[in-house]
Amino acid sequence: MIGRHDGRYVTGVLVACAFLPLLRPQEYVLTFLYNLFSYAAMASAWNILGGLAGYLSFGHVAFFGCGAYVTGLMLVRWGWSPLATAPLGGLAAAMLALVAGYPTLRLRGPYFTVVTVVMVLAVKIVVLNVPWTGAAMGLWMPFPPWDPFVSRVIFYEAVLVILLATLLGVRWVLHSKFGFGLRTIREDEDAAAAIGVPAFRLKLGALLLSAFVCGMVGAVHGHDRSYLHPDFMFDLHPSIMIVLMALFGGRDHWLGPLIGAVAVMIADELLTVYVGTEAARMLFGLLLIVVIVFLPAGVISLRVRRQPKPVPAGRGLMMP
Amino acid sequence: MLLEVVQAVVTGLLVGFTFAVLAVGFSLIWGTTGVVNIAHPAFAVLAAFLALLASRRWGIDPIATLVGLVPLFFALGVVLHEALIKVAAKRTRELGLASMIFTFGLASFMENGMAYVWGPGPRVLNTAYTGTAAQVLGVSVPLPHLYGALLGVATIGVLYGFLYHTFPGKAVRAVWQQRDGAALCGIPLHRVTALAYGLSIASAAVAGVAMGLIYSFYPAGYMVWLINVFLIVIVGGVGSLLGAAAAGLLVGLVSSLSVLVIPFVWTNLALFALLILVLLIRPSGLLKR
Amino acid sequence: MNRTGISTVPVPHSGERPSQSVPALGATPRAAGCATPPALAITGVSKAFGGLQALSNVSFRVEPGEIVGLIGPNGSGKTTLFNIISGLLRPDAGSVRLGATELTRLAPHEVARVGIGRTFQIVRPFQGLSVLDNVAAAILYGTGQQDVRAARRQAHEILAFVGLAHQQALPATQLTLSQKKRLEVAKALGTNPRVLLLDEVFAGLHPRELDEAIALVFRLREQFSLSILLVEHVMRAVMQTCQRIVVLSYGQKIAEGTPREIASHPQVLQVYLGVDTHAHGH
Repeated sequence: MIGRHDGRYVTGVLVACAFLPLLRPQEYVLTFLYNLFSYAAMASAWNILGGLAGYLSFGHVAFFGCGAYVTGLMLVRWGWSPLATAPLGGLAAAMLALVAGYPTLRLRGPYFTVVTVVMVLAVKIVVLNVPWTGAAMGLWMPFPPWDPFVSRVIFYEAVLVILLATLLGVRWVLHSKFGFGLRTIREDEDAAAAIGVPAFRLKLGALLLSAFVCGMVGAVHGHDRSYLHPDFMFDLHPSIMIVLMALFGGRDHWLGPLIGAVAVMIADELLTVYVGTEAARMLFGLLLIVVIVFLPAGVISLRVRRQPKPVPAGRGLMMP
Repeated sequence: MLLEVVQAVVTGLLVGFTFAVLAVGFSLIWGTTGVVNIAHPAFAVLAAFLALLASRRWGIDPIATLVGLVPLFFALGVVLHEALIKVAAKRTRELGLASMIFTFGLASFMENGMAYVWGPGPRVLNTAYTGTAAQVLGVSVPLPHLYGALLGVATIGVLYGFLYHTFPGKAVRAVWQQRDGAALCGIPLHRVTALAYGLSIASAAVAGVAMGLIYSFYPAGYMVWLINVFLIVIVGGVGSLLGAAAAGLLVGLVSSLSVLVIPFVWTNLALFALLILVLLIRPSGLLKR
Repeated sequence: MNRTGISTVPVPHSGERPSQSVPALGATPRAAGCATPPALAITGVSKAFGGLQALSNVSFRVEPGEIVGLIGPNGSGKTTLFNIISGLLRPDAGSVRLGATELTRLAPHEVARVGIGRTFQIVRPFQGLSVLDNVAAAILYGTGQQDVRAARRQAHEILAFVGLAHQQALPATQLTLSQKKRLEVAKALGTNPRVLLLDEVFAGLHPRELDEAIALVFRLREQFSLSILLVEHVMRAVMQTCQRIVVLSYGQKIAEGTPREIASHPQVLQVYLGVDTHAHGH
C-alpha cells in the first residue's frame, strides 16, 4: 500500500495550505490552488461512482452547475449567501441526481455514459430556455460583500474545507463495506447480485454523494463568478477533466484523484499559457487515451505494486 | 395544416437518410467488436471541415471531395482499428470501459484539433444549390437536403450490396452476428473487423458531408450528433444495417414533425427524452431484426 | 417463527444482526434456536423464451441435507432452472420456495441473502479483488456482517476450508481453473446459504481434482448443514455424490430417483443414448 504516512503527510500539507493566505501570496497562486482544490474535490467524489463502481459519468458538471444556479437564485431572490446555502446547493444537486439516476442507473456501460452526457445537454437546454434562471442572458448575482483579496481567501478556504471533508469521506468509503460493494459492481455486477449485493441501491448512493459534493463546489464557484451562464456552467470540458483526473491519478486509492488533479492542473496551466487552450484540450484527449491504455489503474499504481499487470483479454473479448 | 405536415414528413425523411448513414457506420463498429465509438460523429464533422476546405481550395462541389475523403477515411478507420483493438485490447481487461474512454479522448482530441485549426464557430457547406429548392406538388424539397439524402441512400445501398452480396461483406456480417462462431469457421477476425472499421469511418465521411450540406457544423457539435446516433442505434438495435437505417428515418421524422408541435429550442430535448424513454423500456432496441 | 423454523421475512438482514451472531462455520441454521433447515420446493415451474419452451411444469424438492443432482442433455433447461431459482429469471408459472419463503418474487440479491448460494458454470470471480476479498465481499453482503475486518477473518476460515488459504492474497485472476472453481464455492459459502446450487463444478477437472472436489462436496454438506442441488454432466461425480437425481429433457422432468434407479431408467437411457430398451428386450 501507499503508506499510511503518505496520507497523513498529504492531509498535513492541505491543512497547512489553509494558512497560506497569511503569507499574502500572489493572487495567481491562490486562484490556481482554488481551482485545484475544487477539481480535486469533485474528482474524488466522482471516483466513488466512476472509479470504484465503474460507472463512467461524463455528466457531473450538471451537478456543479445545478448547485451554482440554485444557490445563485437563492442569493438573488432572498439574499442568502451561497457560502451558507452551499449544502442546499449540494442537496439540490443530489435531487437532480436522484431524478436522473433512478431511471438511468439500470443501464450499463456505454448506455449509461451516453445518458450522462445527454443529461448535461438536456439540463443546459432547460436552463437556457427557462426565464427564471436568466435564460440566455445569464444570471447576474450580487458581488460578494468583501474586498477582492478577502473574497479570494474566503472562497479558497471554502473549497479547501470541502476538499478535506470529501477526502475524509472518500477514504472512509474506500475502506468500508460500501466501498467493497461498489468494487464488486465494477468487477461483475451480476456475480455481485448473486452474493447479495444490492447493486442499484449502492450505485444510487454513490451518485448522490458525488453529486452533493459537486453541487457544493458549484455553489462556491457561482458566488465567486457572480455571473452564471449555461454555456460555461454546463460545459462538458470540466466533466472530462474530472474523469481524467480520477483515472489518471488512480481510482482505487483515496489520494488518487487528488494526485491526478495536481498533475492535470499543472499540465493544463503550462499548456494553456504556452500553447493555447485548444492544444491543452487536445492533449487531454490524448492523455485520456494513453492513461486508459497504459495505466488503467492510474499513476498511483506505479507506486502501489500490489497487483501484477492485468491479464490480457480472455474469452469473449477481442482476440484476433 | 396538412401541407405543413407533408412538408415536415418530406424534410424528415430526407434528413433521416443522412442520420441513417451515420448510424449505420456507428453500429458497424459496435456490432462487430462491441466498441462504442464516441468519436464516430467527430470523424463526420472532420469530413465536413475537410470537404469545406477542399471545395474552397479547388472550387469543387463538396460532394466531389468524397472521392478523396472516402479512401482517406477508410484508412483512418483501419488505423483506429489497429490502435484500439491491437494495442488497447491486449493491455486491458475491461475493453468496454477502456474503449469508451479511448474514443472519448479521441473525440475530444479531434474536436479541439478542429477548433484549433478552424475555430469553434459554425460553418456550412456552401454550394451552388444552397438555399434552393425544387417544388414538387406544392411541397418544397430543398436541394441540399435532397442531395444529402441521395448520398445517404447511395451509401447505404452500397453497404448493403457489399454486406449481403460479397464474400468479405458476408464475413463482416458473420462476425457481427456471432463472433465466436465466425472465428470457428475460419474467418480471420482481425482482418474482418479492420474492414468493418474502415467501412464505418468511410461512411462517417459521407455522413459528414451529407449533414454538412443540410446543417451547420462546428467542432463541439459532434456531441449532439452522437446523441442522435445513439438514439437511432438504440431504437433500431445494433443488430443490423437495415434496422439502423430504418431507425434513422424514424428519428429524422420525429425530429422534423416535433417542430410542428413544440418550439424549436425544445426539439433536442424531446429527442433526449425519447432516448431515455427508449433506453428504459427496451434497451435492446425497439425494432426487432 | 413458523413450522420450518426460519423467519418468513425475505428482506435483507442488514442491521438486524451484530457481527457476533453471524454463525460460525458449519454451526447453527439461520434462525437461532430452531433445528430444522428449510427444504427447497420447486413446483410447476414453466418458462418459455419466445417460441421455445425451456421448462414445462417442473416439480421436485430438495430436502434438508440432501444432495440432489439435476441432469439432462444440453438444452434440457437445467441452467434456466438455476437462473430461476437464484432470481435472475422470473418463471412464467410455478413457484420456488425455500421453506415458506417464495423466491420467485425476489431480486437476485435478495435471493442470495435469504439463503440460496450459487456458483456459475463459467466461473466469475471478482478479478480485480484478492481471493480473500472475493469471499469477504460475499460475507459482507450475503449475511448481516457490517465489519470489514471481521468479514476478512471469516473469509479466511472459509478459504482454509476449501483449501485456498495460501492463495488468499493473490488477485483472483491468478488462480488455476480448479482453484477458481473452489473460489466460486467459497464465495457462495460466504453468503451463509441453506441451499447451495452448484453449476457444473466438476467440469474440466482431471481425475485427482475430481476426487478432491467430490470429497469437498461431502465435507461441505456436513460442515455447513447445507442442501446441495447440482447440475452436472460428469456422470461419475453425479453417481458418487447424489442421493437423488432428477432428469430433465427438453424442459420436462422425465425421471427422478436414486442413482441406481436412474442408471437403468428406460426413458433416461433413451434420452441420453437413444436406446430403445423394449426392442432390445431389456
